Amino acid sequence: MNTQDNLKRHPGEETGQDLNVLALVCNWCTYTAADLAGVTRLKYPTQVKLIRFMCTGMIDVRYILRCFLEGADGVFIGGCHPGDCHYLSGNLKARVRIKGLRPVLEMAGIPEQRLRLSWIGASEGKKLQEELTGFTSEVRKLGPASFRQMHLV
Amino acid sequence: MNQNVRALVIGAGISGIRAALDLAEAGHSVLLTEKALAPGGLLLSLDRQFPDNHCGLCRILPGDITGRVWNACMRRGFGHPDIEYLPGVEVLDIQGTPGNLSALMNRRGLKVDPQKCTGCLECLKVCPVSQPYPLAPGLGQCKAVHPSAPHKPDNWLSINPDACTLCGKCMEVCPTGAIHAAEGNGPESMDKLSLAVLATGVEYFDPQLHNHLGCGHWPDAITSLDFERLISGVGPTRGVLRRPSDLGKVRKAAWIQCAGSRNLKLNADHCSGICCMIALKQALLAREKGMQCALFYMDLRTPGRNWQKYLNQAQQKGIRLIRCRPHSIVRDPGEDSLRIAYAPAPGEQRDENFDLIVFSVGRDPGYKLPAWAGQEGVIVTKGSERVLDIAGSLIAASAAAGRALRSFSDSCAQPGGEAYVSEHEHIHPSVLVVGGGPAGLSAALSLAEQKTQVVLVEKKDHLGGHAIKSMVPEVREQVLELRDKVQKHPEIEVLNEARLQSCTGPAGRFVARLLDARGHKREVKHGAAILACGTNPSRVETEDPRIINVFDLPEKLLSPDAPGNSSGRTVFILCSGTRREPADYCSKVCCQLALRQAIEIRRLNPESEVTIFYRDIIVQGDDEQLYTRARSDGVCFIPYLPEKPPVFQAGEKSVTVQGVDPYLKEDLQIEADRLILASGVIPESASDLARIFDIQSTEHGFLKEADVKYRPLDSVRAGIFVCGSGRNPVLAGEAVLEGEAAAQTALSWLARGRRNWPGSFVRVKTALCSLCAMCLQACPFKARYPDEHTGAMAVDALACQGCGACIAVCPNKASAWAGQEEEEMHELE
Ligand code: FES
Repeated sequence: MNTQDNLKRHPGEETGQDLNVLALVCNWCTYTAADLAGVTRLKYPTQVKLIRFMCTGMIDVRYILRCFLEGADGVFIGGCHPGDCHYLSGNLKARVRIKGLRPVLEMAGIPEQRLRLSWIGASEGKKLQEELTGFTSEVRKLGPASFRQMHLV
Repeated sequence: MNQNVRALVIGAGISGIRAALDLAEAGHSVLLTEKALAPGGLLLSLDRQFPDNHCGLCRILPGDITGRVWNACMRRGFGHPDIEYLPGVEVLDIQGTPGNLSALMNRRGLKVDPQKCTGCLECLKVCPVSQPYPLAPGLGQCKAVHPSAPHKPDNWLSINPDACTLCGKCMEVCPTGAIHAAEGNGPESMDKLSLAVLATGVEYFDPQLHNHLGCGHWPDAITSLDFERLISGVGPTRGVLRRPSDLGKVRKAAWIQCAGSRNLKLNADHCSGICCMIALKQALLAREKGMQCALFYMDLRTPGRNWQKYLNQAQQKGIRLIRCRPHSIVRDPGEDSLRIAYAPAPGEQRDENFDLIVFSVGRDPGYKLPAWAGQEGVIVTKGSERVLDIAGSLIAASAAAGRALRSFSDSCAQPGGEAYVSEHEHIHPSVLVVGGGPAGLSAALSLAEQKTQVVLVEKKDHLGGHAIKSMVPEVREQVLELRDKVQKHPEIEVLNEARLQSCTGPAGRFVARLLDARGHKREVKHGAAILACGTNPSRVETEDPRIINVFDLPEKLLSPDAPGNSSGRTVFILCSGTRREPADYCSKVCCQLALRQAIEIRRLNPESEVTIFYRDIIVQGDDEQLYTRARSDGVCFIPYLPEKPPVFQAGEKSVTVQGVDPYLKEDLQIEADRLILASGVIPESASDLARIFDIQSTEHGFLKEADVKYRPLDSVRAGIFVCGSGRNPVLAGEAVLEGEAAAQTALSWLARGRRNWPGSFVRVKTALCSLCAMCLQACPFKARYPDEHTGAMAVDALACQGCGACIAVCPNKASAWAGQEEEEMHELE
């Protein structure tokens, strides 16, 4: 695929306007990792917007659904490694919740690749960069979310 | 707030920060100095730490000073309203008397204004100097102006005063004018200090200086401190393991233990204590990246319940453990890798090539405390005397802070402020201490000496636990003295032979119900509880008087006229009941006890023969000298493998012990007159206590802490603290320290509660609450309880940590952030 092609398929990629990727991250690990990534000058896609939560355990599925309804093409959830949650088990709760949410999303026509959960520790700025870049390009392959294409939202 | 104590804390590593926080939370003003330019000390260069291989530095931050959680990880910054932090300041001398000390300090460096610096790094481009990177010498060069820590601290860039040539180029290019010539640098004296806490930590051995196995000669043979930078995600190679010499790929790495420790030639007759764990961690991290790892060791010292588990994990992950000391390292011509020559058994010579060799360094044998550390009024943390792990450093620091405060408890009032939780409910000022062993005694005394009422509950009819029978006279005396003081102290009520039955109520307003010695019911109201239960020796099931538990070896048997003692043969079997299921932990106390007994037996009867079968002799710090002494006294040590433990059979005349000689690889039979088994300890009462206080316990029945590294003495429930052997097997001296630290942690907690508590993070909309109790299960901190007055769930403000788990589970949206509505949450986009 040449560059021309690429550009045609993804207008706005350069400016970061082609996709809306929301990252709901926990304050203690992933957000700190994002900060670290910034400090060490690692770049991650401009399409990603970080939203900070105290803990992934407080991410209600309603928030995730709301993200998709309001036009997100992908939702990334980042928390502490299992066993390392600041509040003991918040990330495990999130894992269960998201597992339960996936079939619901599927039913609503949102492929499960649009939702990713991953554990990123506070010192893993590099991993955050890799995960976010990987996730964004995966979402890009899927194209804008159908909700958005149908101009429903 | 009472501010009549002005404390100086020297060293802003983890110990110093903890000590400073403890002092500040007790309401005193603190000056915290640090020689380097960033707080955090050694810990800053460690990405991940054992025993859970996570980071987690954020956890020691005072979460509730302003009522809200600090939004910072400690790597990035540090602050407390009562702590004045002075980076780049070295303390040269301290003089005076307690209450009026004066310190001579030297201020250096720090010429980049952290407020103005934007981190554009223009200055780095123009700086003409090149120096070895201070955080990882040997792993590359950096400019004189360099990041002061691998992770962004408050003051992001710093200039090394020793390397800087003062050319002024950086000042010209800096767009914000953040770099300015040194102002206020130089010596300076600070007077009217009440006390000082020395928390600088120890210096590490430099194998290069001693040409230890060619370290320094081979670039690919590095120290464990360098390895941390090499594997760090923000290190010079961005976390990809590469050989320093040619940046080639590392496939195979070896760790060589005890560099600069346990070495009589270097005059280092000590064990640094945590290098085994550091090496295991590094090997595990390298293994995660697909490397083959081997560890050359003498004894793998993994005492306690957590560390043993870590060792098991390392073995499962395929880390090779080789018991032997390599004798040389060479590089063959034409080879990229280094060759280690070693002899795993006599007559057996092996060579193996490794891409990277890591020396596990410990405390420098030449390290000494500064002369002024002996000054009255200067309190030295344990972490400045020996190498400690994170939990150990924090415990030692809290204990030191406690000791500092106790020396001033007469001259200063307790922090003022009304004790309240809400308008109607008050925090109860007293503390319940459970267990009258060394940990419980010292906790009770520390609390009482800081004017806190204590109720001490003990199951037995006497105080002091097993420690009053200790073989070490100093320990015995220390515990007896503690016991006397506790019994006499007016603030302490001792309840012997008491049975605890339940403990209910929200944090700060607990009510314990118990039966006292006469079987009468009693209620004890308390604000906080310290669970300091100990362990009991596990039993050795035998009728034979010649087979003895190491804990029972009666003193009279050690005396010369005891039967069968004159020239008898004594055999010890260590780890005979522990370090394998069902007790897969190390009891820590048996090794040093057995060594002491062996030395004593040999001293009393020089003709007698003593043989010790062991897996690893686990003694730390200066207890290593016991091991050295026992060996030079002629005690015979025979290692055995866990899969082939020695077996014994009691016969007519003697007890026959059969083992394997590891060097001759032959069966070995000893007719012993006396067999002593180290069967370990079991936490008998811990799981009951855990149930009563509704906290967690481990699979082996030990009390579980909130976080093994950063909150070692807190339980997950606010206001309940754990310490002593019931948490993790410790020696008596360490138990005393833990008790002091637990007392201090409890006091800090109570003091925080006494101040104007801002209320909880979460509120319940009572009209919407249907009492479905989902939040009761969701809350990890047990901060939820049904409130009789409102008929709805309520939030225990002192226990709530603000994780929001209850908000996510509430089906009626009755739980909400205090001051924030559901709709606002959705408005966030
Ligand atoms: S605090 Fe990070 S996931 Fe819970």
